[in-house]
Amino acid sequence: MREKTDVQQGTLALMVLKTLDVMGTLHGYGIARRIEQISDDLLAVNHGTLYPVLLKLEQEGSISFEWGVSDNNRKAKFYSLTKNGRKQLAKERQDWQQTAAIIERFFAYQGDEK
Amino acid sequence: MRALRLLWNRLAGLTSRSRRESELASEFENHLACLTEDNIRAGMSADQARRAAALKFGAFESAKEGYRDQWGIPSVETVIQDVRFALRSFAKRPGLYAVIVTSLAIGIGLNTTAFTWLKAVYLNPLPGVVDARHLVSMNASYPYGAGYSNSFADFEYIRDHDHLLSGVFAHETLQLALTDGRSAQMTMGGIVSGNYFEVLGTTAEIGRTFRADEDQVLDRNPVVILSDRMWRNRFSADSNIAGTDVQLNGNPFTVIGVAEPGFVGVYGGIRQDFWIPLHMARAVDAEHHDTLASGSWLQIMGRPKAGVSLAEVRSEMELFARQMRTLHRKSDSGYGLAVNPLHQAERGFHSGLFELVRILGIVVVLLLLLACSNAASLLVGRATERSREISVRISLGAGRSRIIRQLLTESFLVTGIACLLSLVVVFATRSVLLLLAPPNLELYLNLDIDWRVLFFLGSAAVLTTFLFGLWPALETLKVNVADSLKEGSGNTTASRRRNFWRKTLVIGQVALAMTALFAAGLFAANFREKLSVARGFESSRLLTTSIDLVAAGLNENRGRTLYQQTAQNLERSPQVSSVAWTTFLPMSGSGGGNRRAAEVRGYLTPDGKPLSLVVDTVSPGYLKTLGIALVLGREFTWADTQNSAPALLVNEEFVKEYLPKTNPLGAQVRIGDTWRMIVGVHRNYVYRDPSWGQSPTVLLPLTQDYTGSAILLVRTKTEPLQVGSQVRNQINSFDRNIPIGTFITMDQNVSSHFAMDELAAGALGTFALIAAALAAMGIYAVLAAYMNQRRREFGIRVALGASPAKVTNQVLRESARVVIVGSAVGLLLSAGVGKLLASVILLPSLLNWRLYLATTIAIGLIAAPSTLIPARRAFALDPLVALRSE
Repeated sequence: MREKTDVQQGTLALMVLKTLDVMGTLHGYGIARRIEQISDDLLAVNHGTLYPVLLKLEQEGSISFEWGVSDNNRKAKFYSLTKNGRKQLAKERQDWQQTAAIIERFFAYQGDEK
Repeated sequence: MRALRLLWNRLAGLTSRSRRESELASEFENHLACLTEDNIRAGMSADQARRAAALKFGAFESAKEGYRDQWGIPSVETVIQDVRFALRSFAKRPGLYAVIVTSLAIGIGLNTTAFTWLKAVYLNPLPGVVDARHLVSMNASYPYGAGYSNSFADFEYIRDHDHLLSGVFAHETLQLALTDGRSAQMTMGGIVSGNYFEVLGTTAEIGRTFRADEDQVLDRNPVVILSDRMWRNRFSADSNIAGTDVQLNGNPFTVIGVAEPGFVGVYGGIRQDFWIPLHMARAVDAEHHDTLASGSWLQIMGRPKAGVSLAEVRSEMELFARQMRTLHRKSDSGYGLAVNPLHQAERGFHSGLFELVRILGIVVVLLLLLACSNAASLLVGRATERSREISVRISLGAGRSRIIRQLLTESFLVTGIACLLSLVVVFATRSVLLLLAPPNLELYLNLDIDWRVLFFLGSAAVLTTFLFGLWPALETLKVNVADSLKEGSGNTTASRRRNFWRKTLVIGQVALAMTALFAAGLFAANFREKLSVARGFESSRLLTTSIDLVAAGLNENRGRTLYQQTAQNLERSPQVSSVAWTTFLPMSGSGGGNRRAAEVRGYLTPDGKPLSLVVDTVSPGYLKTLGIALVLGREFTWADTQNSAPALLVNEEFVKEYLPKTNPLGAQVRIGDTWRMIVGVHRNYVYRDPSWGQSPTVLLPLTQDYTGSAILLVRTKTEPLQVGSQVRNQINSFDRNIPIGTFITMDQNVSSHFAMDELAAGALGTFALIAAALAAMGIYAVLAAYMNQRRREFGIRVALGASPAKVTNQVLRESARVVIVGSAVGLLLSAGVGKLLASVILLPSLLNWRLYLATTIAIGLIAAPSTLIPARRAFALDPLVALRSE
């Protein structure tokens, strides 16, 4: 149960970082909508699961927030990427591409012909 | 780096809980509102939109949980939660928890104190000595008693022939006037063989310890090593102290070093502040005798080689004693060598204290067990009260392990608070042992709270927690969730198994309390018996002090004049009724008991060898001043001079033993080389301890048998200590340089003699009272909880027509049965303890049926209210209320 969450969290964290990298400052709902839009609603996450991820990134120092007022006049946290976060994103992107490339090669591999 | 920051932020997250919660709530609210608005924009109705938004967001609580898990550290969080919960639970029943915490604090505290004492006399008694526990002492022993000193010849023989010891040394305590150029002060020190520091493994913090050649030639090396305390207090920690001179009894000695801090010598509790070589004995001896050539005054100690057992050393020393009896101990047929480990060495205070601590140790462990069983039964009672609460929590999904953990947290918290309180107990009680010091002696015991003590405290606490905490926790979990949740339920009767445990607890408590009471009673009776033994002298209104004329450099003629003048001048004072000098104060710890070779004309010893008699020297007026009755003849007078016939006084025991059926007056007795005539016979008086039998003793006149140091006795008409300054002036007016000892009254002397018995009786008495109080509380708690649980049953029975009196009787009978069984077990335990203590209390006649009966009655009296009150309370209730109430 826990491990599964970790994997999801890791992926989700990367998406959050990339979203903030592109969009600048967003509140929680904005991030959730953006991820849905980009994944063409293929990725059906419960919006609630986003918040522990945001907290973790905040605690790691990858993102920071400011209090602000949302479109509907409610108090909300507006998140943005920190310098650390940008570094982390670059690194994770590289890691991710590397992993993807390795996995791709495994799928491409058909086995030795006799 | 990232991981570190994460950890830090999570730790920080442990605080500021409520702010975070509200922030999270407003964030979620915003998110839901946004979702809902988007849905409405997409064309949904308001209701539909809210529903869809909630679905999209997912389970609210689970999101919050996920958030919370990320935010603090879950396990730490639970602990904090548990602690908060426990504190709330304490606040609900403050009285109950106060009782538990207090009794545990007393239990743990007294155990730690006892351990500190054990450390002081056994585990680590001698700071600055390497591996002190493995030292052995070798004292001379005779068929009539052990603990005698050895001669230098004995020491040399052992040192030269031994193969089993890696080192053997001789030492003795002595008090000398130490002059540092400004003032003289009587100071306790040691006279030791040259290898003393080497064998002990003690180093010098300044300068050096003795060289081997410094203790080989008589009078040649006047060197002294000071204690760290002496160096700091009297020499202001002068780092250039080595090489300077001090005076000991007027003789110049060169300081060669300062012993390492903490080192106080090895004379069981007596604090020494300087050390000089054995071969300087003549310089500091009162009469400048070569005491190495003759006289037995040395204590011999050694360190067995690795792997050598005590038994092996014993058989070697037995052989040596046998050989010495054919050499320089020829005239000493009974001479033997008793080998004892340090904590049983006959000299000093450690061995006596060790015995006491051993007994106290047993008692305090009993006390802690009582406190634990008390706490356990009180908590089990609380568990019964809480069964409903626990059931609710289990049915709401709390895991059993989680609940156990929470209950144990509660127990640990109880012990934690008890531990802190117990430190107060330790600090308040640890110095009690020092009260044993005689009034003119400074006792040193290693009572520091060191890692050993703290480790003991910690282990005791953990053990205690499991002992009292686990059972109530398990008991709490044994609730039947379905049953206890039913409206108006509650067991009508207590379960059989739980009852069994309850009864066992009460039986145990009664038995333990009874044993403690019995032991205390035994010591109290022993103490009273010792006090009540007729002492043969009158101790009230008697002032004593000591002077040292040799230290002041007075010669014999001046000394004689001083003795006579002081006595006669003081006797003229209106506050003084009589004055005398002596070499030994009856019932004091040190001095006296010197045996000298003697012969009684007309009496033949069975083996034809000379007698060895206890001889003391006293001035005229001694018997009168001490209030010792004269049976025949006369006391010494100042007219008994060196020119008149040599005289002596003997006690009744002497006459009974050596001169029965004859007129003792005028009989001839040889002491040393002089034949003397008995001029008087006095009543026996207690020489050292009331429990020792009487032995024949001899008194010589100070006017004929000069001594350079003596004890002054002043019988006063007023409060004795008021006369002190008068005495001081009188002696000072004769010579300003005479060092005068502390003024103490004979009453103080006697009570310090009984200090050990008094402490044992007092401490055990206090412990027994605490134990009895704990037991009473415990019995009450168990029975009250029991009654509470059965209230419903009683209600039904009374409602069905049973008379309350009948039900009460039945309950009382049940309780009485338990108390009686407990008393029976207690009696057996007491008999065991009595047997164990028989060797220590010396008065076995006390082990009689009266003490057992008294203890049993006392237990009955303690148990009765603890049984009656809960029973009464149960029936003061209206049966209807009892039936209705939960």
